[in-house]
Amino acid sequence: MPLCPQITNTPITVVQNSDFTVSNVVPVVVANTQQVNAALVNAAAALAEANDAYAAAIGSLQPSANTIVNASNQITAINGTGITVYSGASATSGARVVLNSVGLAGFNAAGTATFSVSASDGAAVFSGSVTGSTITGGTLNIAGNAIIDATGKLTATGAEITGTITSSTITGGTVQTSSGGTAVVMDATTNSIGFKNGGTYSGFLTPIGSGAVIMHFGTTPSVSAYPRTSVSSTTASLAANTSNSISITTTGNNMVGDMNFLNYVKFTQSVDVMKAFNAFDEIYAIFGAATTVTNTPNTWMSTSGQIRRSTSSSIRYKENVTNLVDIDELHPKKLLDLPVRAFTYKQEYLSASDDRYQQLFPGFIAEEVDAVYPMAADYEKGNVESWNDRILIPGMLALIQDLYKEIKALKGE
Amino acid sequence: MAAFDGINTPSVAVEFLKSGTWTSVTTTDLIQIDIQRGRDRTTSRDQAGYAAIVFNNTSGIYDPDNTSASSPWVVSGASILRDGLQMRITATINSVTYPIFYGFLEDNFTNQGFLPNVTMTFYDGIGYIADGFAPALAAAANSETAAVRVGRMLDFAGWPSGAARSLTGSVVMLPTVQNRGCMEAITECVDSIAGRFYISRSNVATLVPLADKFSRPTQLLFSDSGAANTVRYSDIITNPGTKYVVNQAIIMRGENPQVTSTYNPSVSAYGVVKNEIFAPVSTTTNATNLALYESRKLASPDTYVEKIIFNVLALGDLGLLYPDFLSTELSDQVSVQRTTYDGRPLQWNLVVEGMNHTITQNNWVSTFFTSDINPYSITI
Repeated sequence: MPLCPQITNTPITVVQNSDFTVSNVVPVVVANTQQVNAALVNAAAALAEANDAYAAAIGSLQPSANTIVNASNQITAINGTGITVYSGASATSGARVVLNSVGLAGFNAAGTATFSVSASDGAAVFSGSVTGSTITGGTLNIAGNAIIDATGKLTATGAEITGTITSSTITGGTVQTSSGGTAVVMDATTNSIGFKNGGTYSGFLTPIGSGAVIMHFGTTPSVSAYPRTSVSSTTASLAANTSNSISITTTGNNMVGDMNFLNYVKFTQSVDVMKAFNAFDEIYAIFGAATTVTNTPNTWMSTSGQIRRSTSSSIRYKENVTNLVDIDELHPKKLLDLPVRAFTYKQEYLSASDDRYQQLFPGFIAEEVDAVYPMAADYEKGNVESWNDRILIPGMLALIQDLYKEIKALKGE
Repeated sequence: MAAFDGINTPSVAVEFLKSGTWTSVTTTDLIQIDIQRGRDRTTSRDQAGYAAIVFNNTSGIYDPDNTSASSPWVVSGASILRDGLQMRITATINSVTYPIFYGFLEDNFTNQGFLPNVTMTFYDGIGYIADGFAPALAAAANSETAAVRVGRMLDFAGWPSGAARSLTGSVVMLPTVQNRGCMEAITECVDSIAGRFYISRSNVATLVPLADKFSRPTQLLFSDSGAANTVRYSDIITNPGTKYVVNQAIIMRGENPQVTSTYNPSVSAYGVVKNEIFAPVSTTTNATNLALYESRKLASPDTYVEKIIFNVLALGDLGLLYPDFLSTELSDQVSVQRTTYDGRPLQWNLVVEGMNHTITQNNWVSTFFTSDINPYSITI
């Protein structure tokens, strides 16, 4: 042990803390001479392999001064003509493609030009088909029968379209659904649509004046043929001839000719028949039933011309039932004061065809009925119009019953 | 060496290895011996040790062409004088011999002037090993510890095995393609363990790891007080250390990720001072720890003694300190005490980085090159 005092070197361990900044990166290593030489050797070997591969790939494609020949014996000649690719014996005849400042041209084995593209103006000529391309701009003219001009307008003579034509306007000509005997034909010469069956037109749809359209039966289009239907801005009509028609108009509906209803006619609104009375005096009814019945009629036509169901006599509809003679204001003895008259109807009131026209007619005067037995008087629009037999008859029967009782009492029965 | 009787002062001997036997030259023929070992500061590489011996050749026996039997390098009538001739210098005190230098002949100058003399130059084992070359490998190989790799390099250099080696270093290195000088490869190992490689006074190739610095003895206490067991110095040169600040370390590992560690407090004070170290350790963890250590150990400079010049003959106390002096090896510790004129007591605890000796017939002056003790450590 040395004689001098010993120094203790106490370790202080360095630890990574906030006083340190530590980074870890992959360096870019510069190759040394040996590595560079090794890389050069590898590169030389790779180049040699590439040369071998190139030689194998190029095969017989060995360039000469003016020509390159590939494995398929395709020859590319560079000469005064330009660049000519051919496989025959000559670069100036037979099948070949020529590229020069004039453009690009192809020739078949016979030496005939099959296509050309002009370098000066871009004009192209093809004797073969052009397939699968989009051609933009220019004009296409096929034998003068199909022409598409620069604006895209197509003018065609004859066309056969198997697909769907959408959103088009077709002007002029004839359009028919079939060339056979049965077809729908739209004819520009008559501006009509004809319906043909078995080779013969059965009808047409054609315009008439004032913007109306008529559909009629017949073999030629017409504006006056019958039977027909027509539609205008104000009228829809159905007519068999001039004597039988139905017109539905914006101002009213008209029917010309008789109408037979072969089944019930049901009305959901009131039917005003007074006009019918005024015009024709008669209402003809055809009943579907073959026989009449003895039931009391329950239909009643009011003095105002309204046809109504009459009051029923069933107890199901009645209450407060009592004897008529027990009611003073309705006591039938008042009827004994009712005059029984005879008269004739005024000419304008009764039909001339009526059997009792201008003859004395027994009856009551409604106003007198109203004065004697008001319950039996019927009013219309504030005026007495008629008397009601369904009220007078019960009163009359009550008087008869009363008289019958008195007679039996006088007889001592 | 008239001043050195081996009792009060060491006796010095120069020996050549002749046919396997160490043979001394006549001591009185030694005009001057200059020895230089180690390095001048901690940031320098250990250089090959150097010894230059000037022989009085008035007898002519040191002429290279003199094949008389009296010539120190003639064996059986033939001269063995050639490069690599092994020579050692020893000092003996109280019958104990201490090796001082072991070298291999590098050059031989003969001065045939009025005072004929021969100057022979020797380098120690580092110079010997530096001639070795590790041949290139076809592919990187030998992921091995630093000690193993240094051993292989020594093998390539033809360095003897066994006791001629003392190698410690457990850090695993990246595989190498070699293709470099043996000392270059050894230096990579040294940097990978933050250690040191030197040839000892007794010619042992020595690799010490970082931890070695915590077990080194303190050999001498230099002082101007003349107290017992102290060595009076002639000069001490101090250095504030700011010139050698390193606060950023970049551990480079070839194509592997390199780690950079920056000690920011030092950067704030001194700016970035970086040191790029090629240390091909196998793991990034080790590289990171190494970077941390290298960016810290010199980041905070202290004033230290960089050079101590003293007369060996001044070693006091009847020569009791000679054994300690002659035992001092590179990396051992020493202390310096100084009381300034204004009465401030100063002390520096130092590491011996290198040492020079100039020995003549009447004097022995030594210079220790020292650095501040570095207490920093890492797990590596």
